[in-house]
Amino acid sequence: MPKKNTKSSSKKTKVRKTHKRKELPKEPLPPVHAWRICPYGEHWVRKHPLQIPPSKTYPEGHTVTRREHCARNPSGLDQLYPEEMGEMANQHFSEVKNKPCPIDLGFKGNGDQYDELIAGWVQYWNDILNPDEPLDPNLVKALIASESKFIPTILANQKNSDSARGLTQITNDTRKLLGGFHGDLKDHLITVTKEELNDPNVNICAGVRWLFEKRRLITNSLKRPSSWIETVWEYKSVKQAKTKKDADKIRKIFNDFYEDLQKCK
Amino acid sequence: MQIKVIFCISLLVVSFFSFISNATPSRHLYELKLRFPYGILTDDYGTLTKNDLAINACLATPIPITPKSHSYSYWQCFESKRVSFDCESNGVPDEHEGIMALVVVKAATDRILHEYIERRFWPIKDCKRFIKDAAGVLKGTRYACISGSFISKDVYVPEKESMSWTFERIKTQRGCEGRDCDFTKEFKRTHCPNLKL
Repeated sequence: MPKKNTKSSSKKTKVRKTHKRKELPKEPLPPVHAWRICPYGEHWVRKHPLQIPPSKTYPEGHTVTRREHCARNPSGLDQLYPEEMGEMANQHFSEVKNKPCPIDLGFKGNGDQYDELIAGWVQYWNDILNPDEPLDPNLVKALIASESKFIPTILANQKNSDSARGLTQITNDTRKLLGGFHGDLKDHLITVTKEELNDPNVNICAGVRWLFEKRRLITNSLKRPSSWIETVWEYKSVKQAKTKKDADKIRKIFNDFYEDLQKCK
Repeated sequence: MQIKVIFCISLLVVSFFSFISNATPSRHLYELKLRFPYGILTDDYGTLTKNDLAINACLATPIPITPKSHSYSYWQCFESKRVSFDCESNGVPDEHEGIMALVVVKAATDRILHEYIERRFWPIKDCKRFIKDAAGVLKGTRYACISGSFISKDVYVPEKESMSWTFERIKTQRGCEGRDCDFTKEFKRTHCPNLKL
């Protein structure tokens, strides 16, 4: 049987190009905390419906369910979003032992309603940021009492929607700082909208994070570790007071609540 | 004789209307205090309603005023001409928020100077706008009522006490400025659904 004609040797045979080996993705970094769902640099997105635009198969478009997944953070840093905050609170906060004193401080219905959230976020941020002196959940509870009387949707100035909002009274400027808008925060950002700050869970998370950031800032300016009480005065802008009398009044509003909580057994 | 009769009738009519005008405010205040025994510390001169006192009773447990009562807010009413507003600040800007100021509302009686302060500092622009609006609500009125919770009592000068309060809202016959001026259905549903007025 004659051999089949093969290509003449005069024609150069094409050398099959081997594809350059793709760089394997780096191993994702572990989550920053045992309570977090996604690796560092990613945030958790809950299952949600997704609208698909019209196509040949579905001329009027259709809806699919996008499963929960981890999405990359634009900043490449650690970012917390409200959905993951909610999951963390639901799954882990009831286990936290170090809770604030369970009294309502005279605010019936609301005063002891957020103890678990306060405990959870204080635990979380103490774990992440590892201060030399851990933050006391009673201090956060007293702060909330003095800032908002435990009213979750309160606006400091009802005629200005950018003014301080919610349980820990976060301003819109602070919200942007926490989101990394100005580059002040180097990591562990909080990405929330103004309206999301009306959610007690989101607001307490943001407020505690801001307290830690305030402490870092005044520690830098004092050139020594700031106490948490000094941090609260900074948080409340006491140094802006015109007179010592005004400063003392602002302090007293907080101290009255903090002393009541510290007496707890 | 006729003149005497006319005089007596006139006297009776004047006395009757005088009685009515004096009795009505007392009855109004009596009903307010009956429903909210601790909510108001002075006469209200017809300025407040049950809704105004209900707002405070929804947010904190009503208790008599003592040095320990720093949650519940109390109403007090003053002559409008003895109420003044200020934005107090040392002028040093906060690195993030700019120049901040404290809303201060002063209200004097013969014996006591009451100072109401906001719980936190505001951007100075907001403070100035607020005190302008609050002064507007006072214009042309005789009495102004202020709601706030107790901070401290001081005696700076003999026979002249000073008392400090947090500021929540100010109300006159013209209107209200501050937080939670309106006892809306939403407010009631959120804070005290079981409250009966």
